Amino acid sequence: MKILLSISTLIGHLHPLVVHLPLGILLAALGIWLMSRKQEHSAVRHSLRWLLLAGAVAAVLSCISGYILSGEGGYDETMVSRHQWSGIVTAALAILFYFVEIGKIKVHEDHLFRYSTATLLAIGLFWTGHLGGSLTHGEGYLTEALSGPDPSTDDTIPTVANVQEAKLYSDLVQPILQARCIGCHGPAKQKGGLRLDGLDNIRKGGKDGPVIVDGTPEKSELVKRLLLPADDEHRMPPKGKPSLTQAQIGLIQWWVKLGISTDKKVKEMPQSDSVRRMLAGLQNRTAEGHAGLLIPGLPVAQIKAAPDQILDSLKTFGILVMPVAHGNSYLMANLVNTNISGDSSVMLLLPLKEQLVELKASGAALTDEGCRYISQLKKLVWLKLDNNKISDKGVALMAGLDSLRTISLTGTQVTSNGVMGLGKLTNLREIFLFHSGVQAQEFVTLRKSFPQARIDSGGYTQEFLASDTTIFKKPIPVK
Amino acid sequence: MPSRKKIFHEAGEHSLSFITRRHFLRECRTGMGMMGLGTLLAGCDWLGSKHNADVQTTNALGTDPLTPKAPQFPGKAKSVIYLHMAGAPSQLELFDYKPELHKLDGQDCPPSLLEGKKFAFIRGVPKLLGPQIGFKQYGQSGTWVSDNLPHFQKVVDEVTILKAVSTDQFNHAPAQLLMHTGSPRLGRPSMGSWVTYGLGTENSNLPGFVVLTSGGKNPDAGKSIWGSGFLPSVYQGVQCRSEGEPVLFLKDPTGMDRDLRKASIDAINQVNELAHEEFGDPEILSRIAQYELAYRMQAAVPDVMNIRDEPAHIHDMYGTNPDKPSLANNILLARKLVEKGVRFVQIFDWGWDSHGTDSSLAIDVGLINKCRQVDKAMSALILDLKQRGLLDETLVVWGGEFGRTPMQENREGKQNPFKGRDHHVEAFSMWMAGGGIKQGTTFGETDDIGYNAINGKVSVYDIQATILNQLGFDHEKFTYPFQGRPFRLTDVHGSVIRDVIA
Repeated sequence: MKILLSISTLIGHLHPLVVHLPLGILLAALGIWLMSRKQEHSAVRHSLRWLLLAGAVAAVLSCISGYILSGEGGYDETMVSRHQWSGIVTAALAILFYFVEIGKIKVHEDHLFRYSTATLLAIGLFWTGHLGGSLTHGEGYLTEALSGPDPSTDDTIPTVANVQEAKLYSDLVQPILQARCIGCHGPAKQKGGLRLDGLDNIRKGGKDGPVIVDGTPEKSELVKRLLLPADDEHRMPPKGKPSLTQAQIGLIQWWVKLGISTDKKVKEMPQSDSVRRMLAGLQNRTAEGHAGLLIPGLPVAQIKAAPDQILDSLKTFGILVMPVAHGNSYLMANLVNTNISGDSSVMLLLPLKEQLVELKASGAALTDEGCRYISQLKKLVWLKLDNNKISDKGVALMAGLDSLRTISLTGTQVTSNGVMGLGKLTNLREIFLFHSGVQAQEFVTLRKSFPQARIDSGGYTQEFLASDTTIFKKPIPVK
Repeated sequence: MPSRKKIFHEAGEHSLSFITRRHFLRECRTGMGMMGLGTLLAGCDWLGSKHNADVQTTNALGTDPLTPKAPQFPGKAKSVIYLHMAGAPSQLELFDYKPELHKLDGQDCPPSLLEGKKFAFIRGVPKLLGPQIGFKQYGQSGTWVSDNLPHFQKVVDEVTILKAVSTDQFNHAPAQLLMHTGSPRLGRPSMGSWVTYGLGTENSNLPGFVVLTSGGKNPDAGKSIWGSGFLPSVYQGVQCRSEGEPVLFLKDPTGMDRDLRKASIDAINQVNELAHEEFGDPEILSRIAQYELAYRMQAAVPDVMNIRDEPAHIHDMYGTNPDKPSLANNILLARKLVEKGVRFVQIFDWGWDSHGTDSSLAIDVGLINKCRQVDKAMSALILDLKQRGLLDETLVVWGGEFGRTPMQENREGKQNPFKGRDHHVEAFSMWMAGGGIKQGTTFGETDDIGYNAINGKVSVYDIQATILNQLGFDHEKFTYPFQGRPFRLTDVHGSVIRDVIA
C-alpha cells in the first residue's frame, strides 16, 4: 500500500514534466495540419494521425498526473479547478480531433466543425498552460513582465520610527512575514500547507504539524528554518529570495519566546541586553537593500540630465562634476582641483542648479560673494564650505536652501548669529562648526534652536595619560 | 568487480598507455594556442570591456584612467582608511571579554576543540589562557573594551565592533592576501586598487590609493597586498615613506628645473602615445598616467605629507611627534590625505604577532606597548574626522588578518617563555566607523571561551562586500574581465553585512 502511495506521489510530481508533451506535440500537429492543406506539402498529412494520437495520450496522462498532484494541496483551489477543467476539455478536444482525422467521425475536409475543433484545441492548450504557469509562479507572473511588478506584492519592510512604541506583532513581526513569507505561505499559495497570514493560520501550522511552540523558539520549526545555514535546502526563505537580517530573525525569536499572541507595545515587555541591541538594529534601518545606502535626503524624482557640454566645459576649469551614481541624473561637485577662484567656480555651477545635490568647496577660496551663487543651487542636500572666508553675510544668503541636510562651516568666520539665520531650514540635520566664529558657550542656545539637528562644536581633546608614552617592560599579574 | 567489468577496465587502461606525451602535445596544439591567444586578446582589453557595462573602462587614448567615476549606486562613503594591525592582534585582550575563560585559565584545552583542527604552532594539548587584562563596559552602548585601550573606550559610541569575523587562512601572508585581495594566493588586485579602478581619484594631483607602513617591517605578504594584480598597474597602491622624502625620486634632480622636467615628460609621453596607437596595450596608458601624476605630485605631495604644519592641539590629540616616524604619524597623515580627496588610505603596522616567544611578542608586555602606539591615534582619528564633518563620508576599518587562540601557545609542545597565543581563524574582532556604519553597536558573538562564533559570524568576503557596498558598489556586479571571464574582489563569496549599516 505504502509503495502504491509513493508511486502515485511520484506520478503526481511528474506532472510539471509531462504537461510539456501535449503542449509541444499537439501544437506541432496543428501546424502540420495547416501545412498539409497546401498541395505541395500534402505528404506530411500521413504523420498527423500519429502526432494526434501521441498528443491525446500525453494530454490524458497530464490530466491524470495533475489530478494526483492537486490532491497534495497547497494551491489556490479555484485556480486548480479552473486549470483541471480546461485541461480535461483540451484532452477531450485532442481525442475528438484524432477521431475526426482517422475518419471514425465523418467530417468533410473543409467543414466548419474541423476548423472549430482545431481552434478550440489551440485556445485550450494556451489557456491551460497559462493557468498552470500562474499556479506555479504566482498570479500575475505573465502580466508582470508588461506592467512591472504589482505594487501590492512589494517586498520592502516599512520603517519603524520608534521601535519601543510599536506593537510587537502587528507593527513589527507581521510586516516582516508579509514581505518575506506570505508570497509562498499565504492566501494564494500554501507551500507545505502552511499559511502565515493571521495568527490563527500561523498557529494551525503546516501539513507536518504546528510550526510554533510558544515560549520555546528553539523548538519552533518556523525559527529553526530561519536559522539554518544559507545553503541548506530546508532554510527559509529559500535560495534566491531575500533573507531576513539578523535583527529580524532575533525579533521573531523574541516574539515566539514571549508567545505569539502577545501584541503589546514593545516597551511594555521585559528586554534583555541582547533584545535591546536587536531592537536598535530594527530601528536604525532606513530601508532595505541599497535604498538604505542612499545619502539621506537625496531626491528620488526623475529629472533631466545636465547637458554634456556644460560638464565638459567645467572640466577645463578643474571643476569636478559627476553623477551621484551611474544612471542617476543628480550631480555632485568638488572644487578640490579648480584652477579659478571658488567664487567663479560656483558661478559656473549655476546651469546645473536643477541637478546639483552635493557640493564640496572645502578650502576653495570662497567668499561671501560666492555664497550668492550657492544660494541659487536650491537642490543642494549636502554642502561643505569649510576653510573658506565666509562670514555671517554669506550664510544669511543660504537661508533659502530648503533641501539642505548637512552643512559644514568649520574653519569659517561664521558666528552664532549667522547660524541662527538657517533656522527655517527644517530638513537640516547636521551642522559642523569646528573652528568657526561660534563661541563655546553659545552652543547650548544654538542646540536649543535646532532641536532636530546635530550641531558639532568640534574641539575634541584626548587626555594625556602617562601610559601613552611610557614603554611597558614586565608583566604584572591581573586580578 | 565482475570479470566482465574487469576486462573493460583493463582494455581502457591499456589504450591509455598508447597515448604518449607526443600525442598529448599534438592534441593540445590547437586548444593551448587558442587559450594563449585568448589571454593575449583579453590583455588588450579587446573583448573584455563589453562585460563591464557597470564600470566605465577608460581605454581610449587621452583619457586618464584615474578620472573620477560615479559609483554603481549612491554610496555613503567616499573614501576609506583601513588600519591593518599586521600579525593579528589578540581579540581576547582588546574587545572580546571572556570572564569564563579566566576561570578556566591553566586547564587543558578540551580535546573536542582540537580534533581535526590545525594550528600554526600549537602541538599536542595546550592549556587555556584567561584574559590577561581587565575589561569594563563603556559608552551609552555599554560596549566592552579592555584596559589596554583607555582612549578608545571613550569613542566606542561611534563605532561598530564585529566580534565574529572568520577566515580560513592561519598563516600571515595568505591571510593578509585574503583580507586585502580576496584570495590567499598572489595575483589578485587589492581592495584599494579595486576602489580606485571603480571610482578614480578625486584629487588629480594625488594618487587615489596611498599605503603607509610602520612597525619596522612591511607586512608578511609583501607589496602584493597593495598591488593591482590584473588591473592596470596605475591602480596599485603608492607607498609613501614616513621618513625623509615621502615618495622617492619625486624631486627634480640637481641642475634640472621643473619646466625642463615637464618638457621631457611630455616628450616621453608622446613616444608612449605612439606606442599605444601601435599596440593598444593598456599598460602604456598606465605609464603615461603615472608620469603625469608624478609630475603633479611633485608640487602637491610634499605639502599634504607634511604633518609639521598641523597645530599643536592636533598633535596633542593624536599623540604625534613629527620627528619620529610612527603609526600615530601615519594615522594623522591618513586624515590629511582623505581630506584632500585620496580614496583609499591603507595603513599597515607590524608587531602584533603575540606568540609569547619573547617579551615584545608577549600578550602581557609587547601587546600592551603596541596598544599604546595605536590607541590614542586611532581614537583621535575618529574624533578628528567627526569634527571636520568627514566621518560621514569616510569609512574607517580596523583589524588584523586573523585572531588569536584562547589557548596559550606551546611551540613544539613546549611552554613559551612569555604568555602568548597562537593564530586563530574561527573568530576574531574588527571594528568599523563612519561611512554609513551604525554607531555604538556590537555585532556577532563568540562562545564562552571565544573559540567559535555562535552568532553573527561573518567572513573576510563579507567585510569586503560591505566596504564596497558603502562606497556604492554591488560586489557581485563590480567586475573586471581577465583571462576570459569577469573577476570580482569577493570571487564567488560574500554578502553585505546589512546589520551593521545605519
